[in-house]
Amino acid sequence: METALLGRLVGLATALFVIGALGVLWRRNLLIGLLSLQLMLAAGQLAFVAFGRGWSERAAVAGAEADGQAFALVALIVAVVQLAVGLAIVLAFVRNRDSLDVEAASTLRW
Amino acid sequence: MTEGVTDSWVRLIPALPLLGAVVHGVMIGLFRRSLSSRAAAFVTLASVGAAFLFVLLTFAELLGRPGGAAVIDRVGTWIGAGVGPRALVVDWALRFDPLAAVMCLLVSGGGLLALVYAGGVLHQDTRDDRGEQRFFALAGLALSAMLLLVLADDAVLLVAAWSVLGVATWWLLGFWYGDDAHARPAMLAFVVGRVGDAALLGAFAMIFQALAEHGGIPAGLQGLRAAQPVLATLVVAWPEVLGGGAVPLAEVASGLVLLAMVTKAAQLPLSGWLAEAVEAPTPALVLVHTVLTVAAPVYVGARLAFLFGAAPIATATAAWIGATTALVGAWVACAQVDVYRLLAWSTASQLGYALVALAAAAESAAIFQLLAHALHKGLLFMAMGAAVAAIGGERDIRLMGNLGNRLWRTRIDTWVAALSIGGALPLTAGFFALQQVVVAAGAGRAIPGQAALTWVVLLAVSLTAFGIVRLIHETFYGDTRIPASVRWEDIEDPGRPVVWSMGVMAMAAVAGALISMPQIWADLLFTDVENANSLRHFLAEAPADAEVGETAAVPSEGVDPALRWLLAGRAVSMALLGALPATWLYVYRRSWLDAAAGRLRWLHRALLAGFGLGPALGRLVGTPSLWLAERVLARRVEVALIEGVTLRGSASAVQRIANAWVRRLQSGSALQYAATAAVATVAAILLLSRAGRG
Repeated sequence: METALLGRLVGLATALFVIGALGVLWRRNLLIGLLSLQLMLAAGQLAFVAFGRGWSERAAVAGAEADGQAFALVALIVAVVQLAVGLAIVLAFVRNRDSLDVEAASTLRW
Repeated sequence: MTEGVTDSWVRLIPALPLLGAVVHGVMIGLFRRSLSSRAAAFVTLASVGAAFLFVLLTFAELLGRPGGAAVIDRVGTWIGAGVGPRALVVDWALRFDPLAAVMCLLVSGGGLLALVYAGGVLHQDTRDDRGEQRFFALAGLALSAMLLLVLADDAVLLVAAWSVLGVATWWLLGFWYGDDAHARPAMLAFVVGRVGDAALLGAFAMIFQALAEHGGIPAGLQGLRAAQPVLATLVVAWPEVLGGGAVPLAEVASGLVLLAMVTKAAQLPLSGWLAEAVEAPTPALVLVHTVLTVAAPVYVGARLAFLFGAAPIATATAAWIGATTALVGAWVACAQVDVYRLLAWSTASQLGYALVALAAAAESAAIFQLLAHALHKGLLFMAMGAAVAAIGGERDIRLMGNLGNRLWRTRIDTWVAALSIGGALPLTAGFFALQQVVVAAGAGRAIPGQAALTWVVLLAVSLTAFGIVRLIHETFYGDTRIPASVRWEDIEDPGRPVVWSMGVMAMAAVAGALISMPQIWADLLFTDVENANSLRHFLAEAPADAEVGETAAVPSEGVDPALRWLLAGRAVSMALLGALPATWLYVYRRSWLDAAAGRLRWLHRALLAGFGLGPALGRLVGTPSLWLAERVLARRVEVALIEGVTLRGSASAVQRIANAWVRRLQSGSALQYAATAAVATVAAILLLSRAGRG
């Protein structure tokens, strides 16, 4: 894989990550926050796959060719699990507070 | 070097007694339950007995090896530190060479007999419900430490075992720790021992430091011995405060080792603790006074003899300390009325002989003296313990007398021990050991004032003989002076295990004579005995080791027979000169002795108090340590520093900072937290990437 394509893929991953991070930091809606988190994770997976593909062609160690892809798969599973737990928390939160506002969950303080 | 299957047996020798001790310790400490006294004795006897068996097996293996190659067990690496010439590697390495073999036989065999004896007497000697098992646990630990000490092939391992032995001694002597009057002497013993620990550690640290600057630290004790020619040339700078200049390293290191030996072997001027620390169960005293604490320094002295070879000043000091202690100890023992204190002073005196022999470069004589002393002093402690128990725990010999009529077995054992310690008749191990010591003192390595030194030793021989006649007469003969509370008919010889252990010990004390008879005596008593002094020849095989690369050279007897006979004759006549008048005086002229004691009341009182050496030592060592502990460590360090500054201070500082600042950060806003985490992550990545590049 030529360097230009790798550069573009990493650029895309960075953009996705920044959009996701901004979404988590700025938006107050819990569901949007969860979506943005997924976006960040997806950005990470994309970067893994891109680097994995880019470096597998010059991998010095036999068997190390698919390391990036393997990591991406693991991250995918983590993302799913995180989403399941996150949605459960959101549901419980809505039942308790009758709101989706992140700032409504601010009673744990001094 | 050959590594056979049997090499890995060696580790079992110290491990088995430790295993027994751990079993007891876990039962008492974790499960709060105790075995019956019979089962407790069985566990420890089985573990020490198995260790003894392995000693015998390894001994047979050692004898079968050509050229005295040692049986070596390298368990693994313990400490690996430093690089280059400063690299220090400490192995868990055990070395069963002739010297270790003799010591292992003595320690495990003597320990076994003492434990059998303990099984027979402890039930009348312990004062709490778990006492017997506690005793067996401590005895197993102490024996294990001593076996590790004699087997250790590394200086650091040796120091570690030496320290553990000190702790175990403290626990054994302070067995009745609940009673302050009994616990304090044991604490004194411990604190004095710690001085010795520090000295021994300092000696090795100094040697390592110097060798690191001259080519590197050799591995193990054998490496140190091989480095002896280098060591002999090194010097250390004397502190500028004390005048500056340079002194030979060997002198300083030997001096420190000597200090360690003096503390553990209760030599002058630090001998007071041994006579103070007699408030312990009799078997504990048997162990401490024979194969454990007091045996360790003699072994270390013999092991590090190469160091003393290059240190004439330290050697001369050792000789004079030993001779003076032999004399003073024997003299003080002559006046003691507490039978255990009497024996304790006699122990110090007997070890003085061993120190003299070490200083005279006669290691085999020192080891033989140690062996003989272990046998006859163990026997004396056992027999006197039996007598004391028979009259209800009274230890004052003024309240004994004529006990031999009731305790005839104990009397026989005491006679054997007395013949051995008195050294007037060529029947026992003690006699020949004494002969070797006297010959070594008179004709060994030259020491300033050798003639005077020899006469001091001979005078000690005389006083020892006097003292032992006094002891045996006052306890077993003469008029009965037992307390009114004891019925004459109730006084009986102790039970079977006690009589058996004493009998075996007595037989060993007689048979020990055959181990190491000086050649001149062998020529006189037998015909055609070659190498009669077998211990000397056996130990001399030690250098014949492929590692060190020295050749086996059995030193010839060296001294011309006429001089040997002169010294031997002097020793015998001095012993008789003490024993015969003592017998006559005690049997026929008792009143003269009482009158003399009355006339010289000040001297008698000074002797009775052991010249106040015990209390003096308490003031010398105990008072500063107490001051340090109570005033400095407890008040300044514990309360002020650790509790005040470190604990309370850090807690209150955290509390104050948190109250003032940190808690403002805890807003409860998830977005704010997320922003903080994001900023921190970016900062961390930037920092790490910069650090990675730099």
